[in-house]
Amino acid sequence: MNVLHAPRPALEGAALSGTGHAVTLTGITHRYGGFVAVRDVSLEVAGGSLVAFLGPSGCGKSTLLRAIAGFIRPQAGSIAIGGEVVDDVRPNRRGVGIVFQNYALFPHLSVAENVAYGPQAQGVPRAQVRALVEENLRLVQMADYAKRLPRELSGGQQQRVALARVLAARPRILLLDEPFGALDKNLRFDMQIEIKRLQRELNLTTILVTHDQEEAMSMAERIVVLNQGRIEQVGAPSDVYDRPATLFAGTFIGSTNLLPARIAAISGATTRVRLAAGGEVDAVAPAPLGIGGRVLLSVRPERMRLVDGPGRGRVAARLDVSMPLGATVVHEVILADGLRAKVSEPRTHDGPAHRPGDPVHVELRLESGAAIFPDGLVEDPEQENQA
Amino acid sequence: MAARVTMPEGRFMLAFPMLLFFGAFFVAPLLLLVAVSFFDDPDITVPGLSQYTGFLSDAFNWRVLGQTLLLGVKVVACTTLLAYPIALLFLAAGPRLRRVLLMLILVPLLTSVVVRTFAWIVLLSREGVVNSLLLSLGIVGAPVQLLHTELGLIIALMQIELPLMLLPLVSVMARLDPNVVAASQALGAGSWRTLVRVILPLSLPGYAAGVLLVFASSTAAFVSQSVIGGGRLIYMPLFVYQQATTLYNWPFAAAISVILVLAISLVAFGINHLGRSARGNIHG
Repeated sequence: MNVLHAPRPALEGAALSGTGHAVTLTGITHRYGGFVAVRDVSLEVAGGSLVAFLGPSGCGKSTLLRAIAGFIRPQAGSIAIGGEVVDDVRPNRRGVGIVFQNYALFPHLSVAENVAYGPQAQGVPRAQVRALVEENLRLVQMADYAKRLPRELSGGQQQRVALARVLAARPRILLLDEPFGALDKNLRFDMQIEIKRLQRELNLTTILVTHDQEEAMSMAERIVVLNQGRIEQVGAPSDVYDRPATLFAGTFIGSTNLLPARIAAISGATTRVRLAAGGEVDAVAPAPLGIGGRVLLSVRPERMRLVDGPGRGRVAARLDVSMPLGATVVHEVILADGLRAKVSEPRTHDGPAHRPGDPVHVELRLESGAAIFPDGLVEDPEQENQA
Repeated sequence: MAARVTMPEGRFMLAFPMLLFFGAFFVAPLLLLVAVSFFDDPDITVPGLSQYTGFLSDAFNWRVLGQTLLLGVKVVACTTLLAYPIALLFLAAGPRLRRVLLMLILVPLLTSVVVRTFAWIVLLSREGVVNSLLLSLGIVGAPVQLLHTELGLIIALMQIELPLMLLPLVSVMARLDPNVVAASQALGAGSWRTLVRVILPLSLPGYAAGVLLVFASSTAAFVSQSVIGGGRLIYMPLFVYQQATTLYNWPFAAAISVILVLAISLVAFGINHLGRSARGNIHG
């Protein structure tokens, strides 16, 4: 069943609540006991935008979300919503809607009562509460389930009710805490489209917290990459993907090959590096590096391809395994220096040009898909050079 | 859903020792008690319903039954007033404070009810701790009669029964999803609305279990009732005891027992029914 693609009613005026309130974080620091969860984070989330906080568990993204919602008070720093400093404002007065990973619907209240909860708490007159409930349940295609209890709904339905509940409270900003984690793959995609559409129509500033880089890439206009309580990079998905600012950002988002190299020459913005596996290529260095310095060249698998002969920007290798993955084929090759690398190519109809065991050359196509980072972060030489 | 552990066919035999024990020492005596109550004479020779008709036709008996059930209601009400704030503190507490609270709740259970009851005599007597405190603070001019009064009995039972109310209540609080409370706040509800509309309804199953335990336990608290209540306050258990051991009227004592058991069961059934309809809400 896929009701999400059914024609939907047009939004009514009352639902267009979000007028794009910006969120400003200034120097936020928070510790739990001795553990520093968030370290001096400053960030501006533009009004009406959808921003993803992306990082592994423990990176501080949920702490930031809870601080914005007002559930925790950071030890240092300040939070403003729509220009108003909310540090001393209790969560029930912040106008911040939040959808939890487990939805946190009120289990003893019906779907309609759940959705009515916010407007009722805000003292909205009864007739208007009913209108808000109907309108928002219609918005998420759950009008037929108004009398059900949450436990009688599927996970996807519960999430839509959670969304209707939060929208009925007419929040200034919307926080989504890993909202798709409990959904299966197809439903997740539908809900992502649904939320993105609603967010855009309502012009509602939305912060999505996720550890899923694909989800962040597909949904957000801007991604904030967090690691160990710090911001690693802020940028558009394509920026973060193509021009990672740090080794962490490069390896956490998408998969990449890290190839050891040394700086050979620097001219302007381009830096020429000599690969340990042989060959020289030009790349982009996020930070200034000295000639002769040991670096890691980060190359995405789709920025490499298998070729037959040697040449400029090509590295000798031997094909080890080929794995067809739908529209692409991923080859694992062993480079001249013994390191393994992954090469992703579109699958052709001609059948495989190379067989496992064949000597091949790998061509690096680095127009925008490579960056170099100072080496030394990868201590163990035996460590897999794949992220 | 966890996979069910497969067991050999005869798994019900595992319950056999307990069934045997309960059959011999609980069910059989209970049936014997019921049987004895259907005899008209103290010598248990003439079968009949006169013990029941006799009980029901005397207003004194009704008053004893009523006071016993009322005592249960009062103790339940008082333990509720003490237990809910502690349960809410538990809900708000972090893991370390929760462990401390749980310890404090459990410690009284490690002391025997008899010991605690006699301790309350020391506390409640005319020269006891409570009266000396009240006198020295100038709250009262003369010692207050607490021992052998219902007030004294309720105070003592509150302390004795409190863990039975707290344990089930705290266990639902521990399972309550903190996100649900956070969601209520984020939707604009203040603490009071969150308490009334979310926390209280969701704690109802635990509360129902606590009410059941405290009610059944305090209406049948023979030791506390007779030691602190003394001979002047007569509740059903003491009534039974007097009839059986002083007047040797075993059939009448049996009939009173059966009536008490039925009355408590009826209340228990009602509470259990309420609790069950609320229980599904927590494990939704």
